[in-house]
Amino acid sequence: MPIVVNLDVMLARRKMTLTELSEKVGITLANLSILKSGKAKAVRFSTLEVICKALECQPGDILEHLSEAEYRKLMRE
Amino acid sequence: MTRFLQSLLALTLIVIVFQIASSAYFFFAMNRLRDYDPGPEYRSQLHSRITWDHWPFAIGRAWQYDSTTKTGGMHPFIGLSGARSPKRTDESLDRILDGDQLRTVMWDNENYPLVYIPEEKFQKAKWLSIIIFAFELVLTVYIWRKLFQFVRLAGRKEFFEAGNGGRLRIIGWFITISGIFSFISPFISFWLFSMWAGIGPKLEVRLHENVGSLYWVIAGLLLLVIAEAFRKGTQLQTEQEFTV
Repeated sequence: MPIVVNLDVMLARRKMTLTELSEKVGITLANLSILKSGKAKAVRFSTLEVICKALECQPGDILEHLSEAEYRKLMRE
Repeated sequence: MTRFLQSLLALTLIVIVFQIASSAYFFFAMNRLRDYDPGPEYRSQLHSRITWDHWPFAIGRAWQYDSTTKTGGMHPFIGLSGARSPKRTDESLDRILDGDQLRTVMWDNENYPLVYIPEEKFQKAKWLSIIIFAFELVLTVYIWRKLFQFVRLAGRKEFFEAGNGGRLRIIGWFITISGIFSFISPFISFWLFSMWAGIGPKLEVRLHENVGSLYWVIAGLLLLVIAEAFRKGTQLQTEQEFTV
C-alpha cells in the first residue's frame, strides 16, 4: 500500500524518542513500532489525534501518499 | 472441547487401523483359502471382487466376508479379494459363474459391484490393487496429519493464524473429490481393471445405487465454504491486529 508513515521524521524534528511518545500518548511501544515500520494496516482517528497532539503537527505531516513507482523504489531502499 | 475432539479423532483412527488390520488379515486368510479345494465344478474358478469405497472416512465397509461363497477381503479405493467358491444355489451367482463371461452383480443389499475373474487375471489385478493401496495409504496419512493439526489448535488463540484455513481447504477438497470418485468409481475401477487385467467390457454398472456418495460431495463443499470463511476471518483478524 503506497501510504508511508513518516513518524520517524516527525520524531526527529521534535527530538523525541518512540518510548517518550509512547508514554505521552498511552499507546504501547509495540503498536507504535508497527506504525513506524509501515506494517500497520489501519490507523484509528483517535490514535492519529493523540499523536498529532503530542507531536504538535497535522495528520499530513505523518502520513504521505506515494505513487506506485515511488513506493516500489522506497521499498527497494 | 479440544481434548474431547482429539480423543474422538484418536478413537476413530484406532477403529480405522483395526479395520485395516482385519482387512489385511482377511486378505491373507483368503489367499490361504485358495488352497482349499471346493470340488470339481469350481476347481478352476477363482472369484474376485472389485470394490471402491470412501477412504478413510467410511470405515464400516473396510472388508466383507461371505461365509457361503468363502469370499472376502480388503478394499481400499479398489480392493481385491479372491477365493474359490463352493457351489452356491443363489441364482444371481450361478448366472455370473458362467465360464469367462464377466458380469457384475450387486452384492446382496450392498452397492458394490462384484466381478468374478479367472485366476491369472486376478493375479495381475492384485498388483494394481496393491499400488493403489500404497498411494491411498500415503494420502490417508497426509490427510489425517492435517486433521490432527487442525483439531490440536482448536480453541487456542492461534486457531485463526496457523494456516488452518489451508488445512481445512485441503480436507474439504479431499472429501469432495473422493465423493465424486466414489460416485463414478464403478466406471473407473472397471476401466482400470479392463486395462490392467484384461477383463472384458461386459460389465453392468448401476450408478443409481451409488448416489449416497454424493452426500460426501455436499459435506466436502460445506467444508470448502467454511474454509473460505476461515480465510476471511484470518484476514480480518490480521487487519485487527495491525490496526493502531
